[in-house]
Amino acid sequence: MKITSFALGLLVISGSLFAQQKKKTAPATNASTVIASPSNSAAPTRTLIERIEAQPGKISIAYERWKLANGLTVLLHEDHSDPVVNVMVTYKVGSNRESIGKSGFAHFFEHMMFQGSKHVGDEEHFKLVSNAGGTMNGFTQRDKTVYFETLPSNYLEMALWLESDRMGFLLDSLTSKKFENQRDAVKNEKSQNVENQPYAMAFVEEINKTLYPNAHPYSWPVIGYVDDLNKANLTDVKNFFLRWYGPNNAILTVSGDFQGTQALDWIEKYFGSLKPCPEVKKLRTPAVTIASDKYTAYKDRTYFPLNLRVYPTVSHYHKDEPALDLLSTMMGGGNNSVFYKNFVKSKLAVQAGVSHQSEDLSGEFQIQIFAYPPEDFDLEKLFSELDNKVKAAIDEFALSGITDEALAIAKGQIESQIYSGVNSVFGKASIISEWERLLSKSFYISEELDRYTKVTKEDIERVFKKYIKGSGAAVLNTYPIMDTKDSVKSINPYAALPYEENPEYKGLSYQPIPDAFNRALRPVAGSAVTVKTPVYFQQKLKNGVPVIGTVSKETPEVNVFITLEGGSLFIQDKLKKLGIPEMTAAMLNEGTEHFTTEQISAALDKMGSSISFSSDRLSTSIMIRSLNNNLDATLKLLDEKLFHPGFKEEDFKLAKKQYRASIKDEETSADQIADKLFDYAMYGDNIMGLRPSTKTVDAIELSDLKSYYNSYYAPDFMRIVVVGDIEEQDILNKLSFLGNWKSKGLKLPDVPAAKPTANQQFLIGNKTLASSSVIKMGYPSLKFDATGDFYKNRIANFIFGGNFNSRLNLNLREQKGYTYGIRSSFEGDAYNGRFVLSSSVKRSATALSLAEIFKELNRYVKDGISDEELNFTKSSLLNQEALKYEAPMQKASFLYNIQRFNLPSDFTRKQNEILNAMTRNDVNAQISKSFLPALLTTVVVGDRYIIESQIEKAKEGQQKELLNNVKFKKISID
Amino acid sequence: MKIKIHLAVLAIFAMPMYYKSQSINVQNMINYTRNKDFEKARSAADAAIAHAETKGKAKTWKCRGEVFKAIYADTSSRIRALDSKSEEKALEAFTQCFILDKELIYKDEVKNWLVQAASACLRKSESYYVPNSMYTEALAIYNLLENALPYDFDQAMKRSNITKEKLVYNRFKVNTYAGDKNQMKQIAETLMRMGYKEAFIYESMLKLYLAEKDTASALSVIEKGKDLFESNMVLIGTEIDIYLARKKTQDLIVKVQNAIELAPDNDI
Repeated sequence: MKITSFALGLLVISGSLFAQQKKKTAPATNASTVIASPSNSAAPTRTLIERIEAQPGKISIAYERWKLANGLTVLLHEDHSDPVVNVMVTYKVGSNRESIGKSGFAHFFEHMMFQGSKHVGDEEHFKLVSNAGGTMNGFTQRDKTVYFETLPSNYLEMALWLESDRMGFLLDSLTSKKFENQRDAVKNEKSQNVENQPYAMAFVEEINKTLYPNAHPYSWPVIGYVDDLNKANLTDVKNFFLRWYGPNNAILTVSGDFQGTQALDWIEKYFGSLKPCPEVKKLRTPAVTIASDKYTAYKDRTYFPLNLRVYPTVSHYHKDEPALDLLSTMMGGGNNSVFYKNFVKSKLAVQAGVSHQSEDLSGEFQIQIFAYPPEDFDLEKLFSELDNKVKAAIDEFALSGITDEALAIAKGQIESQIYSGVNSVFGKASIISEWERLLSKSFYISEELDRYTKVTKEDIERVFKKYIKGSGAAVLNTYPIMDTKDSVKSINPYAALPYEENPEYKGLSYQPIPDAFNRALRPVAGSAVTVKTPVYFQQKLKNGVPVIGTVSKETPEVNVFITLEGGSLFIQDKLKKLGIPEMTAAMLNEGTEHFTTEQISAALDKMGSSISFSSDRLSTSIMIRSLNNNLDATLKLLDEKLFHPGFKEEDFKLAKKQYRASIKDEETSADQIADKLFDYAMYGDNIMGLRPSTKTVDAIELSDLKSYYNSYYAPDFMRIVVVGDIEEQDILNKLSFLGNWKSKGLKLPDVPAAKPTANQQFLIGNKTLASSSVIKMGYPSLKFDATGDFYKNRIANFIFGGNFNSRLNLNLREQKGYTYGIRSSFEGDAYNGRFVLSSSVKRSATALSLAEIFKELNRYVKDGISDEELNFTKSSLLNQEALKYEAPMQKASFLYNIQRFNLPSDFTRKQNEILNAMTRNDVNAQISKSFLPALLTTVVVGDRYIIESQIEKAKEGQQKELLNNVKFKKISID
Repeated sequence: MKIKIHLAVLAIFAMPMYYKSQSINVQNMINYTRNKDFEKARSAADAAIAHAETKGKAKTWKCRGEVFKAIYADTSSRIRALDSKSEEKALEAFTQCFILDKELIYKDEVKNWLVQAASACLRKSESYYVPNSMYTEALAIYNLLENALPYDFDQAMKRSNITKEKLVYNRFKVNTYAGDKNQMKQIAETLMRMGYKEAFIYESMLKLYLAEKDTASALSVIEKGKDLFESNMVLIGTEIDIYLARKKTQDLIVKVQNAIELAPDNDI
């Protein structure tokens, strides 16, 4: 379940809410203010539209709305709590502006925007941002395309210069080579992220063909159809840019640590002279309606048959949107919902969810049922049954589900969700950009909240009758592919239609306005920012359990992370029952001795709190999230769950079935298969090399879980991390009940080490006709060490595979187009470490990819890095520091490491000193010591016959030397 | 007497032979279809249903359905051209099989074929008959589909988007294209009563009534349509036009204000 209206991913202002006091001395008036340009131009070039400040009784994000003369909308939100700034450009164009025959173009164009512009070289955008220690990305949706970077605040000018250069001068650097490379990258992305991902096709492609009328902009996938992508040409790129990518069709948002006037001056300098594109009128389509259920089906490599039902609803900010959002939560959110009860609890489905999402032109109310495969394999009967049961559940909801209590619980979840995903400059930039795009006016968080709090039970009944009961839906059923010769097919329903030239692209020409300054001059970074690591406390509870925490008042939430070290280490003598810790954790997520699962869920949902247990090989984790005013009640429930678990037979059967099914489902994922085989290859038949299987899970009894809980749930190896809006003494008092937990005298077992390997080994897992091959390579290496060789290895890896501009990525993704992405890293924990390289590559280029990987690796070991690469590494890693402590999860991660590895509070300073001091020779020596191609274990998961024949062919050609050693052994785990 | 006995004996022996000669058509259907001799299979199929002895048997119709299914599903266009109505004949045959098969002996075998033939017929009507203005043929298909609906045991026809309601709507569409006003009015009334949510119904009826200068009926359609499609600009715009023509200023102001509230930047 998710409440998916973008309004619910809202961000709240930093600092306290109602009490947010005046930050600036700006005039209280909201009247437009015309500001003369700092240049000598007589005409006003920037106009203040509105200044949004905190107002009594209103929760808000304080920001300013400006307009340049060329139509660019500028939003500025100052937040000096962290030395970072986010620059975001939202173009009001997505796949909605494509036409039949040119699907996927907006997304393809997004790729082109990262290939350099007039004053920025190929791949240089990434490099400059990485060098600054920043992160960046972009994404395309149906209604917009967004580009953003988050950097240390002294790089703001550079970010603005970069964005303006590609907004105004992309075409100057456009080449066929770049175009072709990105065409391959996009096709790889589709193959890897859509065609090779179970269920992806259902959600992004198949359902829309039925849900939306012919030729509706939402009827084709954002990523497009391959035949359309194949037909695209350079002229299309030029036309798309000239038509849609103008300042008057964009919103520039700056959020974070900057000075408003300086930022505006830079914005005006870099963006003010950019030429507008032709006027962009709002897109209009008739409301989508479906008279009676419309069915469709397709085949996928999936384990659970999916029944997906989607009702068309309303667009963003339609008066019915909040009620529909709440309705989806009431119907399918949590253990008390009718869909959970009728499908999951009754063991008909492993998962059943309801969600609602509005977009610009329409909305979608989705009901998703992932059913268990029928034992008699009669899928027609199953889908017929599911159809009837979904209708029955809807009827049942109509009779008894629309209650004040259920509505209150749904509203409680919304308030909590409003604060989640926030706490970052990126999040704040996103929300104010969206308000601007959709409403063209300012808005307040409290107004968003009001939209939901004002919804009545009658509103819920009304929208339920109108959009669900009184409407047909698009219904999709997925059938598992049974024939090994069959494959997932993406079919373009418009393929046979003639392409009609879009009249919007007539008469466009590229005539940039000359600048009054030298745009080729790159901005220099401002003075280095002062990075402050979080101030934290460290204490112990009465029983010696360590607690580390920091106060974070950005939102009124508290996050508590509890770790019980051990996990599966305690059952190394029970390999035939792997999965015990995982299932024990699953049971603790259910009911207790005194309350049912539903009662606990209802109590948590109403407060907007969550408590979740999970377990893996090395530890059990408990994550608690709560608004600060609900923390006492939430911790009371934690006490109940942790110390009085129910271990009911009914819950056990359900958990076992679900876990077993999820393992079966993993067998359809090439990534999961590769991970599993790789671990086994590295470690062998022990707790580190094996994962729970259906066989081991089948062998588990309820008594095993009780025994595990009684023996190993103890404070002996427990640690607690707290980040949130609560002071040290307060949280220690509230957690004191955990201090009463008595030790059980446990001893932490040894962790098996990786198998030593003397030679390379090549192992293959077969997945017939997989559209991509998953490659995973590695060897044992050092365990975690903050300031030793482990840290130096990470430095040494940066150029090889540790950033977007790495040698691996530039080669295989950007130059060759073999993959959507490839990375390498040195991973390590308290027990073990390893070097890992992984990627998903085009099936047809598996052998070539392996050859290129070996080529890069051998070259890296032989030649090391250059001075330029060393400088890039240092600059990037040093500057990244500024971004590391912004969000609560980042703070928690920092504290976790300090606590776990007993690090000094200034360990990052020591790391920086090491980094600064490293010379090229030092890095190259580290490379020689730690990059060991001769020890590589390589696992490839894909179509075995295709891959092996590629390898054999390649050995006869240019790749002979590189692939000479490659001889695959089939690997399986009993 | 002797002759009568002879005749009687002859009749006694001849009847099974006669019957056997009719059931041979059924066997021939099977054999010829298996051998892909579709011309002969088709002849046998027609012969089998021409005779009283075999036309009342479910098996006859099952086999007949298989013949025509094989024809329409063949990859060769030459084979498919043997009978331009093979989809319809297959569907009709399988339906008839179920009508006669009271004990549903052939249920498991035929139910999927029925759905396949139904889907093929629907596709034919939508992609061939209607675009080529062959409205009579399209309507005939809808009748056949309606007859088949009771035998949709697993709701597979429903999942192929063949339902009673849809067929009614399809009939409305075809009659609209054909310009049959009486049928349009009749079917539209049914659909509106059902609350069938297709704007085309209301827009088409509105056009019809305006052409007949029946403003009252037009306004009634608009009223019903707006209940289901509150933001449909054709309905809203036409309503405003009518009020403009009637010079009902006060009512007009309210209508325009409502339209603006729905879509502040609409063209109207």
